Amino acid sequence: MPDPISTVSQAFHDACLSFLSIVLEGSPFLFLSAVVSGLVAAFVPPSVWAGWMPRTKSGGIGAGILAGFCMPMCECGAVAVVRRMLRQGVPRTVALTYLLASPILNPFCILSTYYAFRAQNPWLMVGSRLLLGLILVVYLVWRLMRWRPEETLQEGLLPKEGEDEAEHHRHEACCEHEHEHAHAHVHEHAHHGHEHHAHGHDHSEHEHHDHDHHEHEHAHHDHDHDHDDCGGAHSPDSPRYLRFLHAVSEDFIGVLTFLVIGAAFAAVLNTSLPRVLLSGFGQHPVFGPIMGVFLAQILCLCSTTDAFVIAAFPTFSFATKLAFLVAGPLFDFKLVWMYQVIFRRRMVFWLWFNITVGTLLLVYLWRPI
Amino acid sequence: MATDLKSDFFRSTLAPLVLATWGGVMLEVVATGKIHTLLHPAFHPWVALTGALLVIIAIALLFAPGALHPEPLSAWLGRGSLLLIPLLVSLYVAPSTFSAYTVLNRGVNMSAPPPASTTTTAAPATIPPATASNGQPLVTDIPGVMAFTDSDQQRLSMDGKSVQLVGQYYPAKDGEYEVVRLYMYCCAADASPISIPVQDDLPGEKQEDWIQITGTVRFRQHLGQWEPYLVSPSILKCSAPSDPYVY
Repeated sequence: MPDPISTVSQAFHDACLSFLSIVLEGSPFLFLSAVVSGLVAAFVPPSVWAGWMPRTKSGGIGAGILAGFCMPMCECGAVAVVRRMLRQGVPRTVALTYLLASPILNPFCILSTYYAFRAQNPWLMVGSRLLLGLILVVYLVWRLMRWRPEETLQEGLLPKEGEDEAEHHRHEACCEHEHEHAHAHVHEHAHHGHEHHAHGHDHSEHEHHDHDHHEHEHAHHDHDHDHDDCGGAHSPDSPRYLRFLHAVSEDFIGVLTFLVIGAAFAAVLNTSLPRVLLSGFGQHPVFGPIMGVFLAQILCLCSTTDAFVIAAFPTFSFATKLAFLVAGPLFDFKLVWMYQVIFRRRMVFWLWFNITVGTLLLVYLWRPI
Repeated sequence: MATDLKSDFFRSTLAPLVLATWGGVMLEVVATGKIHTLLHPAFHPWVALTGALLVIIAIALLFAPGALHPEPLSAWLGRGSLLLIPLLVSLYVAPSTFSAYTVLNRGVNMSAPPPASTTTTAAPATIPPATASNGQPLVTDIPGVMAFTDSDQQRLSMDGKSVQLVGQYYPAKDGEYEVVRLYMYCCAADASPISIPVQDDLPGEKQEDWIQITGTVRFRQHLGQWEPYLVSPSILKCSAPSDPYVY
């Protein structure tokens, strides 16, 4: 009979090891994406994006998929880059397609899937994963684009009509705001009901307070601007290196917060869950894929690694493994928090539901063998 | 006024503090070698580089005019503690490898050969020759033996050869125990236990003890796949290797 105190102690220590490895593996990618977004913030004016980005939905989806293939990014890194893309005025279709496509439709993912399944009909698994992933990404973006931006995206990421004019208004609002706050860094917005800080921090926290007050968000849209780009060190007039430093710092810390929360949950789950309980379902034609999706969402593996882990389950069916490989890169427990950097909370739930159900339907219908 | 300035400066240092701490932790795990217990070697240079750059950016933020802005106390207590406490606690609490609690929860894999590491740019692992000079056992590791299940020719070339392995002792079913190592794909979080069964009476070792085992390789089929096992073993208790994982 194991000693319960010893078991809890082992579980805690193992979760710490898992947590530390997840955050240290993700941090370099997150930092790289923060540097990319910092360079974009400092050196690429929003008008550049407006000039050559496709404006049609299908063109945007194509561009997003192409960008994901050519500039592959893991889920953690993609969140920071996409947040900056949206702030810089990149069309929503392109940015959201990139966010969802980059982790699954990229050369590293193809290569790792091929090697992991090299003794198990590798091209079938690679082709199935890519095809079903592509269908799901296109479907998700298509559905997301039917919602108004303010219904899906966090404040501060809403697209602007006519970027130059928007920039003008935004800067104007910012300067006014900055003036009001010149002698008070912290004050209470009575109409928002929470502290509002002038500068130098990520607005994700601020935005989360607003989730349940949709009508307030519309009523006070004038205050929905991005402090990151205005005033002090971060105004368009400030030196580029300052804007770069601030953008890197803000994007890294802002997304890191959600990575830490997600990694903590992932660490507990991927050390504490007895996988043998799940393996019994692995061959079942209905419950197998459900278990595959569930396993992918709780293990929170990178899309370049997940194929190796699932390939090592010899008792799992092809459909179970495929469900695991399609659903995992698009949504897992870690992303519940990280997606809230981009999406409103209810949209994160919407994404989870549609990815889960969409994956299962596709896998049930897909009969290549 | 001077107090206000000091207070403002203190409140302004949250971002540099977070960046410097994360950078410092990355540099420390690389410098002390703890990174071997956390990440695949392919990631080590990137962690070191990221750590150094984070520290540089933290310093630049401290000295760049106009780069700092005061943070409220709530940010210090909330995001500051969230970003610093779990990291520092994990750094000093995390063991070098997982205990039996996680190994048994993840389940030990004995049949599927571990794949070549493709998360790196390295070429797939080459299979060592199934011979040993001077009649000595072939010193290898668990993936090195498992690799011989890839083809009939390789399997036959290894069958009956004597090998020497290092791993952790785990008792199994009657008349068998297992030599277990954790196979790391990218990081410890995805490490999977792999093992080679040993047909022998249970020795006196405790579960999780590190052992050096010498035995003869045989192969058998399990769930349609070939798996190696050892017979006629001799074991020695040994200390944990500096790198407890295999790749």
